[in-house]
Amino acid sequence: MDERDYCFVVFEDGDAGRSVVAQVTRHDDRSKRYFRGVWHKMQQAFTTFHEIASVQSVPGWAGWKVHDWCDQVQGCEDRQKYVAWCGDMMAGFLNVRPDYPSQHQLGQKVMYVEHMAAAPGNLHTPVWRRRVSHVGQMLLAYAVFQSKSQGLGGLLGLHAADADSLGYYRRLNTQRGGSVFHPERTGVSGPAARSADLAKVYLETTQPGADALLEDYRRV
Amino acid sequence: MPSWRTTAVSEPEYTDFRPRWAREGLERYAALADTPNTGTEPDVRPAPRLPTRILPRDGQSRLTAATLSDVLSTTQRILNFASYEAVYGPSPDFTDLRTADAQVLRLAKLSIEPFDEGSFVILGELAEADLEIDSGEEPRRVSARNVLERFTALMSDFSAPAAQVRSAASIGAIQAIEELGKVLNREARLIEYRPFLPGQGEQGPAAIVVDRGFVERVSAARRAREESRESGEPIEGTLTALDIVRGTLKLRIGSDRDFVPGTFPPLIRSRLIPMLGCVVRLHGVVEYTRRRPTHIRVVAVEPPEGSSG
Repeated sequence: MDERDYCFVVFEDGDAGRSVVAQVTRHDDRSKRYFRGVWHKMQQAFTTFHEIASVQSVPGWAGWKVHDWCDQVQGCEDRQKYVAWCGDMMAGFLNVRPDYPSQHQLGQKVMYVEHMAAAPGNLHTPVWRRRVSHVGQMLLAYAVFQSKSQGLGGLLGLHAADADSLGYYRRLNTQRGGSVFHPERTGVSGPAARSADLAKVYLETTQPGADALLEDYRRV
Repeated sequence: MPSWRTTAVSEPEYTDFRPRWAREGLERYAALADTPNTGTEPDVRPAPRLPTRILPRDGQSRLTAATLSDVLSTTQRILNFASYEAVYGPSPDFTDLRTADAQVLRLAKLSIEPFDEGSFVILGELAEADLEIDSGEEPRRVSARNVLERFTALMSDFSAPAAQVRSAASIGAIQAIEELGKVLNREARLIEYRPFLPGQGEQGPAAIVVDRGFVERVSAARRAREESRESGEPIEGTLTALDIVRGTLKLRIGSDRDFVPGTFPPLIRSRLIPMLGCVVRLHGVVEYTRRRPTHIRVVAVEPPEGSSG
């Protein structure tokens, strides 16, 4: 597998929708500073806006302490952390864990997508406009690339964090003719064996679904 | 054309490439433009936290290094006493931290996180591992959480109106808290501690505001401690209340409304528990005001003579 065969892009928001190259790198000191100094501050600003506007329910992403737990090591030594950059602007991040047992094919291992998120600036909010769009599809394609590169056939497994996340994956599946995922399951424990995961919907890509997610980004 | 940019940042790299799904236009995939968070928040064991906010006087937006340094060193000193009391129980005469075990002081270690710009909020946490205490009784485990609970308790004693202040804190802790007055005299209007105990959410401890009134109550408690007469004579009464966490008790002597509060060390906790509701004789240091016992620091307990207890 050669990463140069693919072009991972997101899209500038707006009518033109120009393609912007996303450079995916390993989590490092630069991304750590970005998480703490930019990402977290935007979450705080967003939360404060809700307080000032007396809106009780703040979307779940505002509470993710990415800056704290991207450095977590104990109990997740195999976690691989990737960050996607558009120039100096972070597009999003992706944490994956290899060799997670498939819930649909006995003996098969998949790449487990533990966390994936677009940076706050790439979400539409009442406080700011989205900078780039379709970060999730790009990150999923990159996760498939890593799964293939690491001998896992490109297969992915993941738990949808909440109803918004589940809705996103269902729309993705529908847009692609229902071929991306195996049937949804619950009662599946993730690699961290957290009881909270059992109640969440577990999704696993089919082989054709995973292949299509990545091959869409192959350079022509 | 002049640029609005004032900082040099790398421009994003644009390309004509479009993924296969996007070649017919992005509109069809508009529902996938925003990316929701996927996954589960990791179980990062949260440490007890003690953010400290310093409010400068007269709307100033800066503090001297000396003030900042005094707040930090004094807060650490109070936490050291709190750790000592969490491990060994309240000990009103204790003043010399040099005699405290290094492990006890480790438990109180306050780590400071990166400052938030534009404020004097000092984010601190107590993240040290638990301490095993083998005191000859049953082994105990003392955590940084216990230290912060003790800190909160001993600081909260002085949040009450002056007439109600009755602290079992060590005299060393009281002196350390009183030192915060130096910062208030110099340039801070108030210092606010906001203890955070994981798992308690909004039910956790209230903020502790240290202002001039607070420090005056601490000073009054110190003077009262120094001026009170002490006696080594035992006193007898009915043991009516025990707080085994805080190491405090109440003894009823004489009439039904005549109570003497006191403190006891963890070493005699198991002796006291079965005596709750019984007549006991308490040995220790008894403080008197106008010939009336006002407080006892218990060191030993026994049933009174003639009792089968």
